[in-house]
Formats: sequence, C-alpha cells, structure tokens
Amino acid sequence: MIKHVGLFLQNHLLQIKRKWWSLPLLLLFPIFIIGVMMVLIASFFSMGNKDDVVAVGLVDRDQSEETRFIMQLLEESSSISSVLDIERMDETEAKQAIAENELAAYLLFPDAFIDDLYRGESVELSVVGNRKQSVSSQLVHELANSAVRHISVSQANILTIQQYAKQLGMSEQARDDFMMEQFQSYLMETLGKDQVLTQEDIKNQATASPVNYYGLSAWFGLVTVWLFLMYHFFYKEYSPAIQQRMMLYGVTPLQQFIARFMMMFFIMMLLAIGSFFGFHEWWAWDLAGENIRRVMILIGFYVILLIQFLLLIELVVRSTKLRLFLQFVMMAVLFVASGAVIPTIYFPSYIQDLLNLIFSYHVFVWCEELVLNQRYYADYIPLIGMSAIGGVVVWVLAIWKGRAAS
Amino acid sequence: MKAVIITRWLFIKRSMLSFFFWLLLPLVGALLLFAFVDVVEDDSYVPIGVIVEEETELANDLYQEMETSDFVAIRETEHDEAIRQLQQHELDSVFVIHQGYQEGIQTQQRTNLITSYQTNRSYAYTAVKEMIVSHIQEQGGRYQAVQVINQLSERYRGESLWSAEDVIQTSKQIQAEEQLIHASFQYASQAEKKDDEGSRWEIWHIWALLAILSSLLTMDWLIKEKQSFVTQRFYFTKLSWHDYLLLNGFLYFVIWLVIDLVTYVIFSVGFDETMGVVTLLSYRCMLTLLSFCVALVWKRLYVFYAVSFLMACMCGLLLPVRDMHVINWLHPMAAFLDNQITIGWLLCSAGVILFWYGRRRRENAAS
Repeated sequence: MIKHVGLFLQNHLLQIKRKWWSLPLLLLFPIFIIGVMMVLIASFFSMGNKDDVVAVGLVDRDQSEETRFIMQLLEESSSISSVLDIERMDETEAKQAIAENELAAYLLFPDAFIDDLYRGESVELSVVGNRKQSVSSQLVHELANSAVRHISVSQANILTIQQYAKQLGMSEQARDDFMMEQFQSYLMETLGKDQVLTQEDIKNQATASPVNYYGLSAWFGLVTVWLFLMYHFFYKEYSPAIQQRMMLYGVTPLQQFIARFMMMFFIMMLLAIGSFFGFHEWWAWDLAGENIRRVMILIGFYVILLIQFLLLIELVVRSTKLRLFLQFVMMAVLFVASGAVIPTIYFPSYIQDLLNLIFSYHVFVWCEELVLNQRYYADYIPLIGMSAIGGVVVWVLAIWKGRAAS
Repeated sequence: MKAVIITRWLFIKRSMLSFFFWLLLPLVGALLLFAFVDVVEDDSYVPIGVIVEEETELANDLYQEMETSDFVAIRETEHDEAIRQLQQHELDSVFVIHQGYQEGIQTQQRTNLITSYQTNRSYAYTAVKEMIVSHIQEQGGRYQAVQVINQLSERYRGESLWSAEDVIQTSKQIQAEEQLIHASFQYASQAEKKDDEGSRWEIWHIWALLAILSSLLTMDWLIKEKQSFVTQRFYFTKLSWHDYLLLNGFLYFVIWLVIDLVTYVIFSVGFDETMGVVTLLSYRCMLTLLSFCVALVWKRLYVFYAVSFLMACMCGLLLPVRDMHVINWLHPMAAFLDNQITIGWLLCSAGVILFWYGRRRRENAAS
C-alpha cells in the first residue's frame, strides 16, 4: 500500500519535471487575473477622489428666474463641487461635449419646469449619460435621483403653503413673489441638508483598512485559484485499459488519492506561505510571529478542506464536463461565502446563519481577525471537525469505488 | 444531410441528459442566477446601530421610518457597545439621535441634531446617511411650512387659523397624491427613454456568458470524433471529413437557434427585455464558429475543457472593465451587450474555418 503511494508520488514528481515549463504560466496567470480585479476595485474606490471629479453639464430650457437660481447654486455649492464639476451650457454644446467624451452626463431642465412645479404637475428632470463613462453616468443619475427626492418633499410643502395662502386672499402678484421666496428658502435648506448631522470618523485599528482587507482577499483568492489549477495539473485520466492493468497490480483509487493529496498539500503550502510573506511585506502587515503561525495553520486547513472537496466531487460525478463545471461553481460559491468579496455582515440573515457550516468562512473570518483586527486567538475546532469528516467521507468513498471497480 | 442527422442522433441518444443539460444551461442558469441575485439583493441589509436619546414623538417617528426602510437592519444598543461593534466592523455605521431633536425640528434649528459615526470600512455609510437625512429633511420641511403658514395668517388675519396637525396632514396628502417630480435616465446614443436602466440588462449578460461556456463545451463531439478510428473510413464515403464536420456544426447551430428562440421569447415576455433579433442571431453565429475553431485546434479533450473554462472565465472577469477602450474592442461579448451586431469575432472565426476548409485537399493528399 505505502509502496504504491510512493510510486504515485514519484510519478507526480515526474509530471512536474516533464511539464515544468507550464508551471510558471499556471502560477502567473492567477496573479494577472487578481491584479486586474484589484485595479478594478481600486478604480471604484478612487471614484470619490478629488483628482477625478465627474464633469457634468447643465442645460436650461426653461430659462426662468428660479432655474437660473438653481443653476447658480449648483455651480457654486462647495459640497457638490468636490464630486462634480458643473458647467452651464446649451443643449447643442452638451451633445457635442458628450460626443467628444468631455462630459460624463448632462442634466436637462425641460420647458416650463418651474411653472409645472408650482402647479403641481408631474415634471421630469432628464439625465443624459455618456456610454463611454457609464459608471460616472450612473453616479450622476443616482445624485439626481436623490436631489429629486428632496425637491419633491419640498415641493409638497410649497404647494401646501400655496393652498393656504390662497385662502388668505393674497394678491396674485404678492403670492407669486412669496412662492419664489419660499422656493429659494427650501432649496437652500435642501443644499444644506447635511448640517443636521455631525459626522465623526471613528478610528479603528490602523490595520483594519479597506486596503488591507482587499489585500487579504487577494491573497485568499490567489491561494484558491492556485489550488484549483494545481488540482488540474496533477489530475490524470487513465484509459479503462490502463485502469484495469493497474488494478491487477493491486493499485486502489485510495492510494492514488493519498499520493495526489500529499503532493498538492505540500506544493500548496509552499505557495501559500511564500505568497503570504510577499503580501506581508508589500502591505506592511507587520504581524507578530505567533499570528503568522496561526494564519499558516488556518490556510493549511483551508488547503486540506479544499482538496478534500475537489476529490469528493471527482468521486461522485463521473462526467468530466459536469465535474469541471460543478467544481468550478462550488469554488466560486465557497470563495464568495468566505466574505472575501463582500463582507458577510451585508449578507441576508438566513445566509449568515448558513455560513457557520462553510469552512471557507471560518478560515477567512479568523484570518481577518488576526490580520485586520490584531486578535491573538483563532478557533480551530470547527475546522478540525470539518476536515476530519471530509477525510472520512473521501476515504470511505474511495474504498467503495475501488471495490465497485474490481 | 439526412445521414448526418441520423448519425448525430445516434450519438446524442446515448447521452440525452447531458446533451439537454448543456443546451439549456444558459437559459436555466441565467434564470436561476437572476432570481437568486434578485432575492438576495432584496434581503440584504446594512447593519447599523441607532441610539435614541430622547423619547419624543418626532424622534420615534424617525426611528420608525428607519426601521421600515428595506435596506437597513437596526440594532439598538448602548453607545459604547455600538462603537465597539463598529470598530470590529460588525456594524456598518452608528447614528445617535440627540436629546432636543424634536425641539430642533419644530423651531427650525436644524443643525447637529444627529451624530453619525463611521470608519474607513463603512461601505454603505453614504447611502444610509442619505436615507436618514432625507427623512429629517421631510420632517423639518413640514414644520417649516407650518411656521410659514402661521406667520402668513398672523399677518393677514392677525391670528393663526390652522393647527400644525392640519398643515402637516395636507402636506403629506399632497405628497402622496401627486407624482410630482422624477428623474429619467438615458444614454446620449440611445433613442428611447428608459426610466430604470441598469439591472434590466443583467439577465442577458449572464446568459451571454453561460452561452459561451455551453457552446464551447457542447462542441466536444468534434474532438471525440477527431480521435476515433472512424476518421479513416471517410475516404470511402461520398461525404468528405471536412464536409461532415461542417454539416454537424451547422446542425448544432440550428438546434441552438431553436433554444435561442425560446430564450428570446421567455426573456422578452418575462423580463420585458428588448434585444435585437439580428444581434442575437449574429452572436449565436459567432459562438458556433468560434467554438468550432477552438475545437479544431485542440487534440485532447481534457485540455479543450480547461481552455473552454478559461475562456469563459476571462470573458466574465473582463466584463466589468469593458468600458476601457481596448477591451471593449476585443471582448467577444461587447457588441452583443451593446445591442449591436457582432462582426469582428464572427469574421475572424469564419476566416479561420475557411482557411481550414481550403486546405482540405492538401491534407487529403498528404495522408
């Protein structure tokens, strides 16, 4: 039995030797993919940065006193100008600017905007976006939506005032002026809406920043993708003829599994630990020695459980196509469920309840506690339990498969 | 052609289940994933901490409003405990409604009624803050109206004629009755207006991605048959090997078209989607030709599967960065998702196949 395992181990080493040129490719490819993802995330985060404010045009078809007032306010408001660079223009200019990709979007105030607003008729504020800057366009749309929500509340109040003012017998001229006044006052109130709250930044641990979180996610993702690729590197489909011959020599699927498991575990631990020190340097995590050891143990469990999981699917599903598909989908599910993409506190509660059953979640949560929150503790008990169960299940299934085959 | 159909049927008959699984994967997968994301999005919430320092009607109103909002879940805790949870990132952000809230709203002294706490990991803070501020704004605006009306009636009649409750009731009524103002969104290049762009396109996104995977994986018959011994017998048949493969490819194309038709009907009826028929047709054409090309290149089945997954994976990962110029040019799904006819990839694949077909004589002569 052990002799056969040794034989297969040797065989795997030979595999590495024969295909050594594809290994660097295999290992670099995920780095490239994850690099792209990181750039993507970084670009989302820099959206709010001052150095790239979104250029927005304002088009006034109404040309009333009030719309001019709105435009002026929007142009000068400091709370807006940190996000948007607003410029007044006419419609042809705006269209031109969008065609030349100089604007992210323009807002269009339609004809008779203010009149309709005062009379309580439905008014539409159009946002015209630029397909080449779709993220920024959507941002402008969101901002316009929120502004419109505020205006509609104010408008209801203005209409209420108007309704009561009519009963008081004000002259029409006086009422119009009064409405204008009210309109301005509500608009000012809307622009200054954030004054109702004092915003305070709470300093958490210096290490608990989004940058570190995504760094940790990137490392976790890298290990996951590497493991999946490694699995396929070592996977070999034998033709029925060879399988039969191997059986005659007393080779069982279990022995092959053990050899593959050992080989993958060894290589993956090398890769995981090596890359962790890379990330540790690069992101300047500066962990205590014992915490680095804890992270190593956690990722060890992760590697063991993932290999078990892949082997389990290999044992249960016979069709190659379907197996690959299932393995792929399950890896993606495990990765998302770990909370490495979106923090798990934002998940629906019923999903959060299920997460306790998922090993990737346990591993990532404790890694987070160690790296981000500077805790000096990690709970291995659920992971020990899961890997023991996984081991037994794979073991039993492998033996059963060996029996069924002979 | 009839012979081709019959032989193909003999192959498919043996693995009906797998055949239909891969054929229906884009449709069923897109529907399931879309439904799942929809449900999860609806049920997702942002955990926030709220501390109410005064027991007044308006403060309670605000609290109720926050509670009924569908995207936050409130945990009412002690101040220190809330801050601790915030630091541990168990809460997204914390809001404190201060003593004197009601008075501030009623007397138009609307500064610093609330304190918000956030950290650098409060991803949803802006959205939550926006929601809370708009509720305060609403309350405040109504009391402002009360004040203005009181002043008016004092000036004209010398007394206040209406109670605060009356005015607030009227304002609420007006707001509820009339769809007053809304913002529409459209792209400059787009002809018709859509009030709610965005998530609507996603189901075709998912479908297009799964369609790449499924059409590649369904093409595996080509590799299986390249390997079989039957290949040599083609010298004795009327049909050449190349023609046989092309006819089979065409057969699959027709089968896919039928499924695509069903997909088109389901998506346009169920989701009110507008996708051009020609766009869909050209995309399917491209997919068939492309997967045919890829299957021609590889010899080993396992490698072919790996390549298929890799291609689908890359397409999916590059989807979010599609806006960048070069990628939009190179991405096979780009034209389809912009509701345009797929041309580049279609011509390239067709070119490769023509080249392969053109060399058939030489290959035959060589063997």
